[in-house]
Amino acid sequence: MRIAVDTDVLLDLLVLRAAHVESALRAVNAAQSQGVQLVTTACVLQNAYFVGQRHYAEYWSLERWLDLLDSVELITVPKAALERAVDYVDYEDAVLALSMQHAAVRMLWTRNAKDFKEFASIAALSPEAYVAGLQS
Amino acid sequence: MNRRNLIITYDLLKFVRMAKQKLTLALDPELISFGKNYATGRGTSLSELLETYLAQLRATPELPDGDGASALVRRIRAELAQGQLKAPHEVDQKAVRLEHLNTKFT
Repeated sequence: MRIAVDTDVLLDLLVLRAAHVESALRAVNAAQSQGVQLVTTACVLQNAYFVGQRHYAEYWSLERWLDLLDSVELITVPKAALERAVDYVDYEDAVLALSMQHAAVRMLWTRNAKDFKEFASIAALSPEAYVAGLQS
Repeated sequence: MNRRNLIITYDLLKFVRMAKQKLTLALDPELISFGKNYATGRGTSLSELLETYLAQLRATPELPDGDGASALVRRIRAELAQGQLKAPHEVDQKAVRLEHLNTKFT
């Protein structure tokens, strides 16, 4: 199984955002221990790098960034996703969702699940909700 | 076999007997059956299989989040345990990128 990870969750891990790092960490550990592969797009990673390094400089760690890169695989962004994404309100979210559909990835960790409601084939949920689901 | 070889063989047998100890285990019958078949298929015994597994467990260093923890999880766990500063705030990531792109490409 593969789970995609959105920019906000990557940032929670990358710069140890106080309110969310624990739940993100629990989700990553639970998923990886079950053999789940975390994936994302290069655009999402670039955005996380940019925001993390520029706006959270005092919390940034190169080693953490490199470990994060080791923990995620990239899915491709097909040209069709870039074309079809213009039909959606948020182009960036649509590119991620359409790339996930192309790669047959059905679950996304994000703290903005409502932004992905238009994509019926994608289960968008927070890392916290993912862990809660495993425990229930 | 001369007397010296007999003594060596006897000492060796004594050592092997002393090195191993019998143990009674209570296991699921289906697991026992599986274990025996698995061991036979690999030219070993259930005892050796269990012994190897326990030896591997002993040789594996303990990780904070269990055997499956990745380097990322171990690093962050260690950092948090050492009191590493956490980012207390959140920025509007889309707004800051837009601002940056506006500055860079206009």
